[in-house]
Amino acid sequence: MQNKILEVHQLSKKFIKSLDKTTKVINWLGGSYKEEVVHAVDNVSFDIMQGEVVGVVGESGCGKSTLGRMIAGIMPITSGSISFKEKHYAGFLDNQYQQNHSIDLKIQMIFQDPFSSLNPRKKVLDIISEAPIHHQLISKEDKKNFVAEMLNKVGLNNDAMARYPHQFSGGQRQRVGIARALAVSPELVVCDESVAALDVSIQAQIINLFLDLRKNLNLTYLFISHDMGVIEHIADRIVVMYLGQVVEIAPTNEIINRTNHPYTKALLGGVPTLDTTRKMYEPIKGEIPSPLNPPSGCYFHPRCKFATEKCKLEKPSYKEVAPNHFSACHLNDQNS
Amino acid sequence: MKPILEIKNLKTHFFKKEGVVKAVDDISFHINPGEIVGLVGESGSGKTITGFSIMGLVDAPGKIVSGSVFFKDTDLRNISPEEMQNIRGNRIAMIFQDPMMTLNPVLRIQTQMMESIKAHDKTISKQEIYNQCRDALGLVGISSPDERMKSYPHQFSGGMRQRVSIAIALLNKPDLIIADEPTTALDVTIQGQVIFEMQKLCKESKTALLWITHDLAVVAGITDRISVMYAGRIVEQGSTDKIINHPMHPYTKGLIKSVPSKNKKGEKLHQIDGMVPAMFCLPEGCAFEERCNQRIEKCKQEQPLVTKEEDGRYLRCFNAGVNYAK
Repeated sequence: MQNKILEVHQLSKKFIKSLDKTTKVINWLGGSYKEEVVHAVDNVSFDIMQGEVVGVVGESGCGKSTLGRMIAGIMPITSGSISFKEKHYAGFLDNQYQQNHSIDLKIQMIFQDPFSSLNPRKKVLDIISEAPIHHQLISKEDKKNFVAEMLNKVGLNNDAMARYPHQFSGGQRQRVGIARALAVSPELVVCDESVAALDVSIQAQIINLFLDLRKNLNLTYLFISHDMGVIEHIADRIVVMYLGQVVEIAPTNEIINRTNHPYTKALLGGVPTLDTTRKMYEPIKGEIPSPLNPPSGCYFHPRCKFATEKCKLEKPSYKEVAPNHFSACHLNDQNS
Repeated sequence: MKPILEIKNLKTHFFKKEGVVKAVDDISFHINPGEIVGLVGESGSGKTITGFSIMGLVDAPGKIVSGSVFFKDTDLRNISPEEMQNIRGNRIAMIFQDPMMTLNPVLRIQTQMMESIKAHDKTISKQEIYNQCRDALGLVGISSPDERMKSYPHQFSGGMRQRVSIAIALLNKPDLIIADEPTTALDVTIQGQVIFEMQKLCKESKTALLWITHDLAVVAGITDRISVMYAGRIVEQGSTDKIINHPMHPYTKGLIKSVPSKNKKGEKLHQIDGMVPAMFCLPEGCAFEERCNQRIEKCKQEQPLVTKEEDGRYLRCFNAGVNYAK
């Protein structure tokens, strides 16, 4: 049995849009305006094992990036807890957010947009060496050798270190972003749509780089993407999110071959493939509802073709439909 | 059958300080009535400029240098701007990538939709135009179109906005729609819906469609023929089945092999090393030579010409026959 590297327990994030002065005055006069609350992430629990690649998929606005940011420790959490190697680290509520260097360094993040995530006024040498020098992992004298080694790891030449980010193409910039994340020797890397902005041929290069680094440096990934194809390829286990909630978690083969939740089915069915025989798409109806006032019961019921009365009223609970395969759907109750 | 659009040896160049960018360089293809053709390429390969060249939307410093764009019997390069105006949005419509940018944020949907009919036909009554617009909205799957006609674009989600642009493109029952990455900005489920609508509408109204995209998987399921572009040139062109299932050009082969879902899980993906060359210093020979795993001596010195293969596909490669069986 592998060790748990990360445990996320009942994690939630609320964004509250507070009232402006006018509405406050109206409320004081007897109005009844309420603050708008968005549950970006709602009671999410899962584990990541050492050396595993966990993929998080969902449509835009389902809270997958918020989840990644909270795990990477760059966004305070509202409630719940995250523990890294059985140590709580971001278990601080809003406003009491503190840093915990020894753990923060072990979890690093790689962002979607390689154009805006690198400081345009710094040379690659400084971008990569800034964090390790600040945290005294290397000395200033070692800087050049260290950066050369890092660049080598991500497949860039040594002469890259004297250049600025704008002198690189998208794929190369993403490599610099990866080198920066790896510079503090993390154990868990959160990749937030890290290949989404790249062209197909470059995307394959970066995915291969991720796989190589995983093998060589014994890394664990939390891989966030909207692209089912990429996730299918790279992940060992898949977490499917819808409107801030996890609807299905299962190992990749299991989820592909024995899909349980109707939303996951729809996601998988909607992916265009290189199959030239399928000539008609059968999309699911409707759009992702506004998280400001989510539907009652199961959040997916307005779009679900199997929806029953029960789905409108009750929130489904998680059921283990097969070993390690959890799904939140009322349909499972009827079958059993 | 006479093609509805025929492009012959089209060259669109951009004259910049740094040099001449050959964004579109000597491309030829045609679209038959009612046919769906895919134009696939990476960013910067010139696929959008191809669309712009057809629509006559190329701005300075860009210029169509040579070649012809025949729409039915008229050469779109030789007609006056007024005549072009008559065709643009009327006979040929375009759908752009970003639904956030294509709609005017300060006008109601109905104003924007009715405008595009009014511009081309001054004889119909206002009520008639309104009815047509409302029906078009209903046709692309927007519920309660009467209310939605009065909304502003910001009240729509991305997928809904793209539907509105599709509805506008369909209003004048064009013979050809150019769709430039219409689903790239959308979520997977919404992408499926938009592809479904487009497919249905084109089939029903027999509209020809040029689908420009970077995603081979999207066009694999819906197109009749595919053209693959690389660095401003079409490198391979043929029926969808031939291109996807039996690619010949090394670039097409690489692209198909590097799509994640086709490979086995966890294994290394096939990768095309290197990257697209800078457009204003293209090599003398084949632009793909540096990244190609089938290159021969000749590739470096000479530009491969378009050849027609036995199975009806067009190819720009000296050495494509090798490794055909993979």
